[in-house]
Amino acid sequence: MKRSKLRRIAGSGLVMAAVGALLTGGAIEASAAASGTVKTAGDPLNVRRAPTASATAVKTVANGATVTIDCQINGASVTGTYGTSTLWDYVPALGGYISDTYVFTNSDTRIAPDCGVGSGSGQCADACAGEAQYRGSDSHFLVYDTNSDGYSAVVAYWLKGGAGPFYVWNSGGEGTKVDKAVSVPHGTWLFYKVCVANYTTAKPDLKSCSDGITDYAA
Amino acid sequence: MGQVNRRKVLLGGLAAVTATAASAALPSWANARTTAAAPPIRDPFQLGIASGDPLPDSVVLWTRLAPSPLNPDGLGGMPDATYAVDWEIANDEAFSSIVQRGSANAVSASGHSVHIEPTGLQPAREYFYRFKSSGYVSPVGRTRTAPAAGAAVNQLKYCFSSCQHWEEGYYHAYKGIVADDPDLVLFLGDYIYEKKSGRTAQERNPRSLAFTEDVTTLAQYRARHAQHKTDADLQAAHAIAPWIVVFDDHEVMNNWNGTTAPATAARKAAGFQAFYENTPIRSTAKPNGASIQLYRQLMWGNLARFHMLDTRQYRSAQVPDPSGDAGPACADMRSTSRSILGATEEAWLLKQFESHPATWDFLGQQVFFATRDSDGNKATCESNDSWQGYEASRNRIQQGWVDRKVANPVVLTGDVHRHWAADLRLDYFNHSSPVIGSELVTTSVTSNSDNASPPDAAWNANNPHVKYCKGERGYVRVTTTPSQTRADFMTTSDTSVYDPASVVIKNDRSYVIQAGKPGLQQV
Repeated sequence: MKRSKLRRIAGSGLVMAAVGALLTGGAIEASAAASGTVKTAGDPLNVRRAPTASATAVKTVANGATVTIDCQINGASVTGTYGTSTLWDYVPALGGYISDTYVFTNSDTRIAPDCGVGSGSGQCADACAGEAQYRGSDSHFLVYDTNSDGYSAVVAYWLKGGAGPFYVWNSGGEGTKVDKAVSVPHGTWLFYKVCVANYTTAKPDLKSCSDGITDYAA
Repeated sequence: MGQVNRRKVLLGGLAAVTATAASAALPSWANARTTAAAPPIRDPFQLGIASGDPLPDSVVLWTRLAPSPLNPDGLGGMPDATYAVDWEIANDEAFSSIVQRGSANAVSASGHSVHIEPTGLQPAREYFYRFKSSGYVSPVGRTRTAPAAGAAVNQLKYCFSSCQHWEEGYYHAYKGIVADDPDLVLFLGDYIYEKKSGRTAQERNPRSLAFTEDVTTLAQYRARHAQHKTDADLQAAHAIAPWIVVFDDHEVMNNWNGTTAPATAARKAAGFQAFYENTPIRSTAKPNGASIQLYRQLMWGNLARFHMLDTRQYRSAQVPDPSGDAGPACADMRSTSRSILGATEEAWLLKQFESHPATWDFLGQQVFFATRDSDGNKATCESNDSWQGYEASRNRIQQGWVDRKVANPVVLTGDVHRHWAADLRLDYFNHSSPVIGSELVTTSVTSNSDNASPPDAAWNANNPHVKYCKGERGYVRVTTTPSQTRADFMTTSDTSVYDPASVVIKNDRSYVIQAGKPGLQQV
């Protein structure tokens, strides 16, 4: 009797209690969208795979375009329309980062949370000889080799619970991309770095790594 | 069986709560402006929950908010703002009968950790607790208060562990501890390591650190603690029982106090602060810069008294151990002016020995207590880092408990990455010197002993007081009653293999100590 009662509590009671508390907590309340307007001397602005001008330009965005900023992060310093700053804005619709110094946000301070918020992120290592993006919507890593240095580009990532690191390799050489689905439990975090290394099935000797970032699987 | 079923249900429930909180609260950052005082966060309970230092009317409840625990800035993804953390203590795990509740502020200066110290709880009672912050509910923890002062206690079951280098293995030992369902867990040091694994057999390390630098700053100590805390088995062991935690050296730096190159005050301060922020320890141990009040006493009715010691902070400088065969200078190792506890802590411990409120006196501490002498020659010395390197200090403690008629002293030890069991003597070179107590040494949770070979026959002949040595990973389970203390030396299957289904926990060897009759008896 005791056992079955406890099972019922564990199976539903606690869960319901948690949901109820969440509804009252109101942690994540929507408010005005963080948005900005691209302002250059007239040229299109480069959208970078990682928050540095050394990273590959994945596309451009026109002067005067309105962008929705999911998150911001400190990267390499840039001097643009509005001065010099290390702040970069992540724009999911563009699939990369733009320097905040070319974006009118009506604010000198940050207007969005730190990057790693589940909508995507990018890192680069060794002067961007290796680049990687995490796409939270379907939990894919995109790993790019952009340099003929003889090394592979590799992502090392860690998961909730203490497992890791796991690796996603791109050993295809300069100019190649690997797109790989990784299993990350729904809604949980992963912490990843992109590095360059010699390919191995054993534990790699990572030659150079980005600082790393936490992101979330949708 | 009832105990086991309840425990399994509890842990199953925890998983359900966590999963629900995570999935139901997916934020839509694109629509969120976050310039508010306390910006929205994701589920901040990624480091689990814990309780510790139980008293008859109180137990510390701990958590630390860290939605992105491995962030290298050590802030765990928390914005620089104050977050309210609500807490609840209940009689039941469904929280239908709330005993106390309250709210505390988690602030950036404390790494967004909270240490709740409720009072007015009932003695010798099981309680359940949880936290809420920013709309998220933490996992549920179970804890226990100590019996009332002087109360008769039939039995206490506790486990103790030490030395859990992140890279060198998975924490199988905590699967065993959770299955044992103890009243209490003691941790005897090296909760984190400040540096990468130095083992030769690197290929045996199943995990890697998220950042590999030696930790020296508060940010790094916080991030390193956080990585250790992400381990699911460690979290489960904290959720099942109150812990009593002390540090050893690696929470700051290898041999940080006592070598010729001690850690700087700034590094000690950073290490102590991160230790405090990440352990369920009382606010009496809140560090004051490079100083921390770690040593303390805890009672378990009239059955047991725990003297939790600090053999690192106040020790005299270690005697140099030159390379070659000479060994450290015996005259220095035995100098009566040197101490491993320092004068104040030694006097405190000896003062404790003057009263006898409990049957058993357990000295929970870090480094090897008994002498281990390879050649049996009293004129040569070894093990400068252990109590052996502070022989006069040890003699004062041993003679102290003999003179003060402490009936059943048992020393509990970590540090050395192997199980050991030994009897204690006033003179370790006189093999007929009477036994005056015993020492139980737990092996590591993960830290390796790759290069250690088991004692051979000659070694054993020189150390007949040492009964047992086992170089595998594990922990020690102790069951204490008014008539005897039983120690089960537990070993785990290979900690480099993750597969939970393949984990085997084994009781390798057991000893009992009869109350009033010093000495280990193998079971």
